[in-house]
Amino acid sequence: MAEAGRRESLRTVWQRLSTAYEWKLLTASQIEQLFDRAENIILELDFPTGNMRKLAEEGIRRAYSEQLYRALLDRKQQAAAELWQIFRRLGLRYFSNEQTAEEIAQEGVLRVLRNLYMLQNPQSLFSWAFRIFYSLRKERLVQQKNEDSNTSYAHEAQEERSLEVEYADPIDLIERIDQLQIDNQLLDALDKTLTNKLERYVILRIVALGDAPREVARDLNLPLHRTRLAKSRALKRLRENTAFMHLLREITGLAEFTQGVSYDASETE
Amino acid sequence: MMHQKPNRGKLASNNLYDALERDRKLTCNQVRALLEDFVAAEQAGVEVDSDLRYSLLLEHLDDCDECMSIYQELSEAADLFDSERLEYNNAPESRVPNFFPPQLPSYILRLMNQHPRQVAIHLPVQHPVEWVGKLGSKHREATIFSGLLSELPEQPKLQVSARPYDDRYVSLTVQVQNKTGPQAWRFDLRAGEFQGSQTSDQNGSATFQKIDLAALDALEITYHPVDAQAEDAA
Repeated sequence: MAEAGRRESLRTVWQRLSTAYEWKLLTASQIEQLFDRAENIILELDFPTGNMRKLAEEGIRRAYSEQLYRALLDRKQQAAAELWQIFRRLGLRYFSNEQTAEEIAQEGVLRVLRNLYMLQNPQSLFSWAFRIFYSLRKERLVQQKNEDSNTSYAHEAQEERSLEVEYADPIDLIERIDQLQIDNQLLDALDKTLTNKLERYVILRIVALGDAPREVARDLNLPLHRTRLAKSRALKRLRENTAFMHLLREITGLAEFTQGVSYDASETE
Repeated sequence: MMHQKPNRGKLASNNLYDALERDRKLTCNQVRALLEDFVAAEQAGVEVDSDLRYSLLLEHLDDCDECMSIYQELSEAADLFDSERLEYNNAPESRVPNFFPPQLPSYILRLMNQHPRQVAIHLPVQHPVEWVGKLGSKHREATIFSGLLSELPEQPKLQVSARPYDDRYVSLTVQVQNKTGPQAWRFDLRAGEFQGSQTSDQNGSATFQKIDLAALDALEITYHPVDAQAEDAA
């Protein structure tokens, strides 16, 4: 029963993806073989019983990666064109003009072709191509920065701002913190060290209160990975602040010397 | 709705301290090898934060900007394959560049000198290069060229093959084998920014280390016999 459901999901996902991306490398019988391969890939995952649609997407993505890899080695233009369309889509997400997106797409495919021998696992072709894309994007941003420092600064500032979004549903965090009786000195130090509200909120909920990141991401209406990024950045800021770390050791009873230390957020390493 | 949890005032400080002071237990390479599966698990709804299999990886991400950046990239790109949120905006086929121009000549040969014979070969590198996993991924091999140089009277067999040197570079082995006559050569190789000279072994084979194959469009190989008198005698 589960197998029938999985097969049906694979068909649906394939139908959608192959139409959207105009995947034309395979014949009808090869598509059936692709489903077999995708099923095996799903069963080999550590989590073969997750969300059926997501698993089917993963299975199709990896199985089609293998086909694309083979076709690129066979120098099939159709394979390169399909990869180019993927790069172009990614390019359009980050660069508003089509010309830039298509230039990056072309460079991306060329880089894939030249470096294909380095790819250890053909199933990872798409993931690997994504990393090549982001590397090209960074290069392009540096190039733009050199050409026009203001433009690039504006882009970076926009990225930073996107991490400072006000949380969509400001749960009464202060009240919750009061209930939990977190040391006021610690709260005060966190306020001073983490000036970014999102980072402060995330660190309090995930690390201090132990809430699940997925739950916090949902409350913030943010993608889970952006929530993790906010947490990681907050931890870095705290770790780099020697005065904060000293205070934390005091509060947790781990400081060797606690006398005469006052907190000053401006004191960093 | 959030769960109401027991009073954790002191625990909060300890949690924070643990998160800030723990050591990395996985290397970046180990984490990067796991990231694709991790992102897939997360997307499939696996509760990775409460699953012990992922705890070391998550700790590493908290602490490593570069791995966090790769995780962000993979996560952002993953929704390209979300079959319920697809956009249908491909460019027309006419705008797609041609990535595989007609095949280049397999080599261009020049006779630099008759006695002793000195031969120069311009060998285009066709990308992508296909590797064969003969002995596992670390021992893969790619044939860049294998054929007879039929223009020369002794019709030597030229073989150029590559093996991984490290994650980025390759080692190139050049071999020239005559049916008769000398078998030991002095090779000069130019490959992009790489330039090197090697004397072959008695099988006519020499290996050049640390070459960036991805940056190459062509190889320039020049060879002449190590023992010129041997060639004259032949």
